[in-house]
Amino acid sequence: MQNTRSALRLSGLVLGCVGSLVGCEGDLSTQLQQQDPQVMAGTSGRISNTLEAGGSVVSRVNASDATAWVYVQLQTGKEVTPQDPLHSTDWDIALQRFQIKVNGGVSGQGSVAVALLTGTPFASLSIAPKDGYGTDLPDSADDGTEPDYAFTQGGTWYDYNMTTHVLSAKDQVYVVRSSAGAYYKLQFTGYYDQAGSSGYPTFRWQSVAAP
Amino acid sequence: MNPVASPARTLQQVCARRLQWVRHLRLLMWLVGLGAAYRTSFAQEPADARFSTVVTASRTAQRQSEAATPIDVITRVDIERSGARDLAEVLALHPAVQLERSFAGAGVYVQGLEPQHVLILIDGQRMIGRTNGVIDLSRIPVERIEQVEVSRGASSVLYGSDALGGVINIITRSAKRKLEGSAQVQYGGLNALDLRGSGGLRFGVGGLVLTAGWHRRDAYQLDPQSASTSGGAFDEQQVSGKLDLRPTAAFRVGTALSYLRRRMDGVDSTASGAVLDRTNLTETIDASITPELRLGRFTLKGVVQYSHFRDQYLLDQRRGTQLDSYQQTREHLLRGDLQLDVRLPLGQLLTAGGELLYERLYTPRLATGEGDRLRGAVFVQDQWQVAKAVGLSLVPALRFDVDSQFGTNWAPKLALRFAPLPALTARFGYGAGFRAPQFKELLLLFENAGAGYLVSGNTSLRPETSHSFNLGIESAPVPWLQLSGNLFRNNLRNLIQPLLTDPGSSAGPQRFSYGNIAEAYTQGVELSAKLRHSDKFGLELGYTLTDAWDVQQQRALEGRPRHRGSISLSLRHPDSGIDFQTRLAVVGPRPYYSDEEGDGVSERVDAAAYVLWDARLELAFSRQLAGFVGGQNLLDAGDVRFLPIAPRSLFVGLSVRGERQ
Repeated sequence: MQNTRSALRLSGLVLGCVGSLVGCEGDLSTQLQQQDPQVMAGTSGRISNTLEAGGSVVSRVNASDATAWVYVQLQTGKEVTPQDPLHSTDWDIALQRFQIKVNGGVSGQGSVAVALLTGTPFASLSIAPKDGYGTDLPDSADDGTEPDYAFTQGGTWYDYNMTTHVLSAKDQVYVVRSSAGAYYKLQFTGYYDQAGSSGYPTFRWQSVAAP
Repeated sequence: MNPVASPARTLQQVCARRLQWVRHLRLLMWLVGLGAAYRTSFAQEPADARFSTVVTASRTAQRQSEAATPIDVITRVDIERSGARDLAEVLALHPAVQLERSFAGAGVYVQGLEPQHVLILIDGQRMIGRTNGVIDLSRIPVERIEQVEVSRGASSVLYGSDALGGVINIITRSAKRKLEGSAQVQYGGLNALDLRGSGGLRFGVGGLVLTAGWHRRDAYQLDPQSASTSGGAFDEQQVSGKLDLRPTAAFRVGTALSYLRRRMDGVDSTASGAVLDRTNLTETIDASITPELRLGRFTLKGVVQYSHFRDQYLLDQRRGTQLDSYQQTREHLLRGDLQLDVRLPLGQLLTAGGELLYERLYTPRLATGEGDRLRGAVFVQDQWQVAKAVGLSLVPALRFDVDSQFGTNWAPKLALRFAPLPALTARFGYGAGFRAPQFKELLLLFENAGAGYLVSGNTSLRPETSHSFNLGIESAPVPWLQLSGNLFRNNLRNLIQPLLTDPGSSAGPQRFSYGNIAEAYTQGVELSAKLRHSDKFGLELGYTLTDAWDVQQQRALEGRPRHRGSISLSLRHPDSGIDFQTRLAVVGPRPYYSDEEGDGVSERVDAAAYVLWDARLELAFSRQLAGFVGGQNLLDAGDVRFLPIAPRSLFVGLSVRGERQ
């Protein structure tokens, strides 16, 4: 009896604790936001990462070589050098000067897709949209011969000033879905390094909850 | 006592005494006069420009007032009194031209035509080293200059390419005295230091002049927020020598050699935030031999000229290397010229000649890294005094050029001078001008990968051409006043402009080339009044109305002010050795076109009107020594974007001079 009472008391305590814990716990999605990808501040190859207070990362990629792509793995924020990019799932996005391709569609065997959000500020986006995702497609009947990159849906990510020949990032947010099903919000902030050299696309990014 | 002789003797004595007085007085006056002369002779007597000898109008020496083409003359004395250190500063406040400073240097507009349409000559020989069409006039230090002649209107007939808007001919110094020498040191704002000297020697069969100068100044920044400089620092050294020999009365030969080294340092910043240290090192060598033979009515003149211009341009990006660049441009010019002047009956002077010019350019910006051209020309001109009594003279001329790059070009000219009264002269001139396409426009291959565009030359370009008309009147109703007015019109055809040939795509850059596509005209009025009282007082007023219109784009041409005015006042007090000159130029608003909104469409922006004001005061301490103080840009005009000139600066200096007649 004593044992039974003790067991009941313990069970009540455990339940009470669990119950109170459940009651105290906030929205899991906010917790997810703060769980950043395993990104370390510093440089990885041609990528330089800075961690920000809210958990976001600012990455500047030296993509100034007009003949080579820089492959980025978003989970780690690192540069990877796949032997066969077309058949590798190590990378998520790749950059070459102002061009960005994703590991999907015509660019790779992965299933990376990108959605463009308009009118949503970067800071207030916590859950990825359900739809609107696109991947790299074969070149359509436009002027160029390059594929129709997912990041060019809805226009380029930058504005080009014909007078000063300066590229400046548009104020818009993308959501990238990785092959593993993780979601990241991403916003371009610039195209130049601190010395003013071009070919250094810079973007702020952070993981967000799945829809 | 001799009553008769006595008064006579007394009178004689009185007279003698008075005579002695007069003698004393004369001696005193002479001494005072000598003293005054000692003081005043430091500065040379200001010459009345009307009686200056000019050569630019017709390639033969003649009085300025008798030339059929109007010529503005800036004398050595004008230059010394202005305090200017180089030709750009000499012309900055001159009514005949409009000086513009840009990254390419200081160039002049004449009658609303831009610097690339103005030919710059030194002793009749063309200068090389145009950057973006501009010959930087601050490359010519004043110690070399004896006189500057400005001819307005097209005169390609005499000088070939580039003489559309006018010709500026710099006459260098020649030895005038047995022995002469001068030196000057000047120090002023922005640590501007100028040391210059010249020496001349005349001997039995000739004369020799040597000049040398060192000029430096710090950079300046009109926008303290910007990392870039508005005007670079410069450090310049030059030496020149000129030897004239006249072994016989009929034969003379001149040789000239000069070297100039100029280093400019500045800082540029780009819209992307890059900061670049810029160094520009230019070197110029000019050498020439000019023989002249006179045989009765015939004069045969020859010129062999060689010029070399080397330009090294270095950009060093701070904290990065992507935008680092080094570019070297070398330009060679070899020119031969033969001219025969024949005095014919009926007051005619026939001039016929030919010119052969070889030009070679090395620059990484050309598709093949180098380009060359050979041009030959023949010309003929008749200066005909039709009726001397009414001062009627007629000057028809014709020139034909054959160029290995653009083919052929004809350039005629007709000038008429009519002086029915001694105090009234009317002139009419029509002239054709042309500008040969530059190597860059013909052969350029330049790709800006970062910005995504490519510019390539067009080898089938034709020369730009102009037809200019001038109608002027000059009057001196009283000896101390000279009035002049001139109406001008320049029609420009086949102007070379960049042309979009391929809009580009993500696969390839935008492609530009050049085409003879644009048309423009400039027209207006030039007015001037000169008041002069002996050499003590001089006042010059000038006003120019310019209407410069781009016919192709139906808008005013960039950079030309509609109104421009100038005042120059000079005062001398010979007894105290004081010499003061002040100049003021008022330049009205100038239109520019720029994509202010970043939407790919240019909007008109008017650069504000400005006033430039310079002054200089000289005090002669003795015949040999004088001190001076002065200021440039006293009203501190200037803005970063449209008028990047040096801010107000004051200067002080000393000059010494010695001579033996």
